Amino acid sequence: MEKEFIELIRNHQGILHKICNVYFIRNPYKEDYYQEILIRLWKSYPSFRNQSAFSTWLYRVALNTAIDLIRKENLQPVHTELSKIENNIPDQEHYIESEKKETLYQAISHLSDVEKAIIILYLEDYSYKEIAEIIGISESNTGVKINRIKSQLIKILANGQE
Amino acid sequence: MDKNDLKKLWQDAHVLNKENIYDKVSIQKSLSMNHSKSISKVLSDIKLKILLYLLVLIIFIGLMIYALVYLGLSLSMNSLIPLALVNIFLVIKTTSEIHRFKILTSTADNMTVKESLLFFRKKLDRIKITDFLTYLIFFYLSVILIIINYLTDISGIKNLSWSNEILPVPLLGILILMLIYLPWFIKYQHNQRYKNLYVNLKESASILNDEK
Repeated sequence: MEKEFIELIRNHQGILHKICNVYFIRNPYKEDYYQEILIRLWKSYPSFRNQSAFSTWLYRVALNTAIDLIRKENLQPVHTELSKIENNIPDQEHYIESEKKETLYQAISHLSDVEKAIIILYLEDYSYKEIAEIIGISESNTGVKINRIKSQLIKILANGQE
Repeated sequence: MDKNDLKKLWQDAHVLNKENIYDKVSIQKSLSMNHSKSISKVLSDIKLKILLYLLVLIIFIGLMIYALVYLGLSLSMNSLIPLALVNIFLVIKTTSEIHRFKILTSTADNMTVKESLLFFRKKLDRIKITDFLTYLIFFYLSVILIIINYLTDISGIKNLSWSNEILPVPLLGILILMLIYLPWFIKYQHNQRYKNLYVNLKESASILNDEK
């Protein structure tokens, strides 16, 4: 089961990278949080019963974990090690490959945690039905939310806000 | 910019998938871990606090039993009340840390984002109420014990008050006022403590609940 899981994660690593970038791009603990997502995916893996695509299940667990980690940081901030933050400054520049990417992530960073989840799924070409299933809202509500978030994003991008 | 350009922008931004920071994390190694390094550190700090409070509590209770039962010392109410309050305080600190640990380790990853939010909120509400009640009981007990102490004049507050020309009635009045305002004070203190968390939860809930 472990080998199978590792293989599946390797094939879908891009999803995890995108989620981590959206939620933790400025966080000095992004590597740690990425690892925590991997650990929690592994712990949840026995509950994956092939009822949905692996990527759908992966999105659900990874988004829940990312939101949960952000939420719990409000309760108990992780200890800030200065050296770790300093070391991460060049990494951040290395990571943000293009101006486009940075602009987009900057704009997304203005959204709330749930809005981020919805827009990632939309940008990743998931149908309204699938998004509704992962988020837990109705299909029609998903459409309304997506339109609202898109307008918000375009406004931010047009204004060139940080 | 058109709304449909967002998808194109997203795709363009992810065309060049060079090696990145996350590649440093070993998947295989991660599977044998309970938590990542920073999370483990936070959790072990809380565990250490719980152990420390428990240890002090056990030593404290042990010493009290030793003094009262084994040595047969008969302590006055005046001496027993502060000791009892220290014990209660340690119990409250321990349970408060246990609650914090429970919040940090509880997960609902397999649910939908909305269900996970509701699960977390329910858990947090329960913990908040328990915390509120334990603090309330502790402070009420403290004030009641001080009043009993005062009324029985064990600590000589009466004499002390008179000698300093402080009327005992205002002192009693202050204590009674404290009793009345205590729940609001504790509620305020709790709201401040969980403020950030609730702001985040309320914001998420409003997005998920708003149908139109």
